[in-house]
Amino acid sequence: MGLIKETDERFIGIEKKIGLFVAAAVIGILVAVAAVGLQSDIFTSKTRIYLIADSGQGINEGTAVKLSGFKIGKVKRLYLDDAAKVKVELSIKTKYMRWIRTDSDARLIKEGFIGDSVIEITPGSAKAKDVREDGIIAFERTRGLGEIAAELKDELKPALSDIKQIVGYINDPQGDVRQTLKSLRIAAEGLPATKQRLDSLLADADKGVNTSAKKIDALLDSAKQTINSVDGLAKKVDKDIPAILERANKSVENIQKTTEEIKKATEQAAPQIPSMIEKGNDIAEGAKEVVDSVKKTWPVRLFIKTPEEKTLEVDSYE
Amino acid sequence: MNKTGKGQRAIGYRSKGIYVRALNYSSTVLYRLLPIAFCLLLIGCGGYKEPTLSDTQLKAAEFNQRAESAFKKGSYRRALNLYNEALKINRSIENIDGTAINIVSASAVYRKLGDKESAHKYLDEILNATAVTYRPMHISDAAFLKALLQLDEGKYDSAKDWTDRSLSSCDNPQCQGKIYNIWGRIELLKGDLTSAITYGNKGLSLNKSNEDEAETANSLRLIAEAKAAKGEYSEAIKFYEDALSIDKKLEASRKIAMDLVGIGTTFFKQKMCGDAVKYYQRALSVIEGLGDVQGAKEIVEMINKCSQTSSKNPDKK
Repeated sequence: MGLIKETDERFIGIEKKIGLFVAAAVIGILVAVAAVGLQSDIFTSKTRIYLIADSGQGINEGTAVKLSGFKIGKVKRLYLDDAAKVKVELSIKTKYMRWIRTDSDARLIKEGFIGDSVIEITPGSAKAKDVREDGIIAFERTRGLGEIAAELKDELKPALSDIKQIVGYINDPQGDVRQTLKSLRIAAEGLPATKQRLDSLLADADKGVNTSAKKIDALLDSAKQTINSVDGLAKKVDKDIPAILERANKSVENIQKTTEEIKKATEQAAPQIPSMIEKGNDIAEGAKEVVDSVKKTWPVRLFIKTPEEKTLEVDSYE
Repeated sequence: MNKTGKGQRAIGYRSKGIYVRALNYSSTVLYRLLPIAFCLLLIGCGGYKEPTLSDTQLKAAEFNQRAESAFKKGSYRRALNLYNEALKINRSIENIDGTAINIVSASAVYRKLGDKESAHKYLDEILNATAVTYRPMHISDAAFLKALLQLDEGKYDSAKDWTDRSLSSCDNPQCQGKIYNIWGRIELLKGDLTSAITYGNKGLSLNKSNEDEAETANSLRLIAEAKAAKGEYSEAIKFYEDALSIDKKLEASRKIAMDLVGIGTTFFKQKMCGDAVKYYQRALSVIEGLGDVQGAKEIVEMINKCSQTSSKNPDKK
């Protein structure tokens, strides 16, 4: 005997019911697929354009392509061409292609210093021609913090080396400057003795003109020698100082150049830094609030000791 | 089986049934009450508990703890800044205990940094206080540090006075142990070896009963030094070795080196240069591990001195 009677009223019109159910399910699936497709721009018309980069670093399949901050497409794929350059295929929504002209530039930038990489395309000028399907646009990579730092390091290195050299040159005990100063000092030290001798000579003047005259002659000779020596030294200093000054000037120029570079880099980075710090602070404060709340909650609070102030332990043998 | 027997069994079954029912009933009640009781327990425990410290005091405590941690890592400048921050907060709310704690701690950091003038200045605020009354334990801590400062400067009599004040303000055996140790050190430096050993022993028994291992090792080292100075070499070495085993357990590198140098010097005094050099070399290895160039230089000098002596008297090597 069958378990279900064929005349069971629950099965009257079962085919229609199943048919309706299946139809509803199929419609539902189709609607869902359509919604997902619309959401994912599957049905949007797209144009393929290319850009050529020296390196694929930071560019991945799916990397967003933006124009004036709006997402207009993505990187579809990237591969090495015959010249070992990276050819990046961009899939751009056709409706946005009107702003991409032959003079448009593409740049790889970061959204914030720690954000994702994004390819930003600049709108072209009205005079330039439209970029067609499979067209190529120019590409440049903005420098990352690491690259800027490396560049600054390269710029600073020679300047610092120059300064070090100059300081070393000035400080060298056997160098011209120190020797010149030493000679000057010795010469200057000799002057009081000369003066003393002059004084004693004048005091002895009464003793005899002849003797005095001889002494004066000797003294004058000595003074002349001292003056000649000082003159020679002064000439040497005159000769050396311009060279030193020239080298110092060059170093200062180098430093100025480097400072300008630093200024530029800072200006480039500066607008983003305050907001980053602010965001960082907000995040830290939020995290602290959460941690504080957790700390106050049972049973966590049972394991956390209330902080108390302690005197620093001082050992009797320290 | 007779009738009476059957009746008794029937009564037995009946009473058993009552017990079973009662048990079932009570277990049902228990099962229903348990979740309620558990919920009540959770509510009771989970409710917010008022902290015993205010936010300001908590902040000061945080600074104090961070300062201690910085000090232990050897970042003395940072530790000083943090102690001063904690001090500022405590002053702003006139928390006398917190103020005293951070004054003494900052002074200890100044001492470590070699700024003795500031260290004294800070301590004087507690020791010469007139407007505020500090607790005896804080006065004892301040006087103890002052004694150490005077000891650093070689002012033994003054150091002794401050040790005396520290001891008179100390109201628990915990601090007495280390005060006796410093007292013993002063006597040792003054050359009164018997008093040094007496104070060392007092400190040793107190520190042992307080289970203060670091200070126990200090007492042992103090006694060892005094015994070595008295010429009781074998006893001295025994005390040094006891101190060494504790210091090794505590991983106190500088103290380990001190113990090893102490043993080496005791052997050197007995003209046993071979043994002395072995200990000096062990101490040198520890000090080099610490990166203490000056300490290493001093130990190398000891080794050289030993080698020179042994070359003059090869027999006593």
